[in-house]
Amino acid sequence: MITKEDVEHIGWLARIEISEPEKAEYMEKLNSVLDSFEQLDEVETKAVPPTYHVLELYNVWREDEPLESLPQAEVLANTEHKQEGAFRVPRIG
Amino acid sequence: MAAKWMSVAEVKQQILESSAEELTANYLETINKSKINGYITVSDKALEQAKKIDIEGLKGPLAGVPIAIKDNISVKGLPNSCGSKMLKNYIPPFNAHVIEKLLEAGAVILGKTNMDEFAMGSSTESSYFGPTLNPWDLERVPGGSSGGSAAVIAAGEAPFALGSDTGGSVRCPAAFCGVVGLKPTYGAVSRYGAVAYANSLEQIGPLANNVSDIAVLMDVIAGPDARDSTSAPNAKPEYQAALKADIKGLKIGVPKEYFGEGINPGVEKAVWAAIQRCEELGAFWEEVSMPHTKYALASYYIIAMSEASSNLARFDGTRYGFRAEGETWHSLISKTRAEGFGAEVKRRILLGTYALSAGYHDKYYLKALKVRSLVKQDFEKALGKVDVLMAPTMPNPAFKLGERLEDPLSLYLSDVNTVPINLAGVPSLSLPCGFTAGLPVGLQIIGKPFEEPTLLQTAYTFEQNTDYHNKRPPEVV
Amino acid sequence: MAYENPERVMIGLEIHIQLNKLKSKMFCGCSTAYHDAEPNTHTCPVCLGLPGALPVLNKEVVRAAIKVGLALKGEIAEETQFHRKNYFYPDLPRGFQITQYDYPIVSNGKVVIEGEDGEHEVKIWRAHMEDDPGRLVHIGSIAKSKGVMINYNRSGIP
Repeated sequence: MITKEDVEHIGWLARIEISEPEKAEYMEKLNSVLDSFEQLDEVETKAVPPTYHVLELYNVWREDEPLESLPQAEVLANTEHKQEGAFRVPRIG
Repeated sequence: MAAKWMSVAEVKQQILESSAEELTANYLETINKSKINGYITVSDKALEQAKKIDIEGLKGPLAGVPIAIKDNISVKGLPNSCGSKMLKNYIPPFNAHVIEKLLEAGAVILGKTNMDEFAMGSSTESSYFGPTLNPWDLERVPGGSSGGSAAVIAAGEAPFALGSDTGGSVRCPAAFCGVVGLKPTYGAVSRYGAVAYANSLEQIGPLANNVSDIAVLMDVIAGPDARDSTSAPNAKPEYQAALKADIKGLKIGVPKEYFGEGINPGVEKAVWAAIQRCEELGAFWEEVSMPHTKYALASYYIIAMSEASSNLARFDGTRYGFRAEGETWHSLISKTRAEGFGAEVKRRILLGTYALSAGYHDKYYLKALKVRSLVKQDFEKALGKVDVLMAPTMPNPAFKLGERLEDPLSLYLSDVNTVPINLAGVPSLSLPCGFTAGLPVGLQIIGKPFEEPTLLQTAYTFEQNTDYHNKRPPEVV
Repeated sequence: MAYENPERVMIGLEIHIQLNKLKSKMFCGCSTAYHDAEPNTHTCPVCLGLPGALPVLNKEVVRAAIKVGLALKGEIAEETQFHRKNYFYPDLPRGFQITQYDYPIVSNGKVVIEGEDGEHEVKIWRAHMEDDPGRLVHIGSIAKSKGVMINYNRSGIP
């Protein structure tokens, strides 16, 4: 059961600002979905290994060869908040 | 001459008779008159691309053939919005692997199609750019999340398209719009350049108005890619070589759990008629059971939301995309994410964050991964006895716009027949098999890993012996 | 936790070692020779965390990590895994660092040093592979900063 405190906590963890009135709506909608997840408790999984990847690939890697990087202009093209070749943001806070 | 509803073979013929430029111009004209809101961006470079191909000569298997691309697959120089305010103006400086392959083959990119925001949805209603309308009934949804890709094909606004399928997002709109859609085996097609929603579940998939064109596309886009560590290193089969109209001796398994309680009777009837048609053509069917099917939805949603909460953490306005105002970086990003993401995306990020958080990780995420193993085993057992499985793609035909928006859970429930396939990583194709109340019904054909040729042969045989692929929506213009 | 009269003080050290003998970054082909370069000229879709970009492990990082492990007389894991460490900071473009959690490549090592009162064995619990974030430059002092400039040349360095 997600409480108001939980909503505030996960809102912070996920860095999504949630206004006071929104908190109640989130509680309702999130709990309704969470309730539907409870049915997984019915399944016996003690001896079952988790599946992280359906394709069991091992040692997938590349050689240590340098490749071309993007030109600076292209890197910064998608923002107007830039200065002297760097991305610009307000103080961390 | 209106460029409508042509197969790729017919498109190529048309190009020989006139030119790539004229053909692309015809498609652009059709798109211009569209009522369905299928495209988010129409490429202003399409005509130029086509002209270039006319001048340089028709090299490549898709020379001059136009294609529509879902707006979460990066095309260099065109916006890649993912149906979101967050990325409305984001223009990728690189092409996805599949786009490189298409361009090498000579294809012309017509534009980027509409989708549920960040691929989260089954109706294309959560798009920042408004819903796409189903060409079969403009008051109904086209399905999702690749609703735009499916709808533009059905409306004659592109001969074929690419979509992405995390929990049914290619197969669902294919079924609702009466076209063919394939979710390849996990790892068969490189995901490099496709914006990640849930990395362990998704694949880029082709959509077209007939089975042959699916094979044509797979021959171009499938295969290993060194830039995607999850791409399968197996040599890829020749997909078009599988297009033989013969299913004598094919063993079909029909999973009883896919004909659940809420299934629409018209859908059930059409799918059983299709299975019987396959029997008439020499195949055999038997009932199979996949006992963990009912747990697949919860397992899928926990895994998908958890992966999404991590994959979407990069969207904070710092380097690209929408940026809100804030005095400090932390407040700026919290406001950016609150305003830039739509409601469904935020809900999924929050739930995913919760499922992964300390104290809940084992109960939800780890548990879901274990249930995933059981669902995967269900497929291994069932497909151990038969060659393919057949079932309805969706339990109902296209529903009305707005019908399921109030309760997110009701929308999730319609994915019941599609999500188990993503959990197991097996391939699955949806093709039209009939109608109910004038709306298309999709037949889902599910296969063993990397046996897309068997799926294609089965689908092709059914298609060649029925008439559904020739049916068209009433005039949309 | 505060100890009133500790018999012994335990000090833990977390040491980051940049693998700068490698020619390319940990998960992409950007060159590691970034030290005097203009900002954001040694970056690519992967180390910028652009949507759709995917990491591919540099084989030499694994070899270097094994060398470090052997030098530390540690156990080299037969199977090692990467995990995502999710947090938000402007120098972390993906919103997560690709690092190692419960299956690090090296464990149970030791370093013997000469102390004032003879030889002393420092235990090395574990060593693992991870990539670096970008570099922040605060405009003005950190306390009264007017803003921050971000250079991602270092992002993805092993």
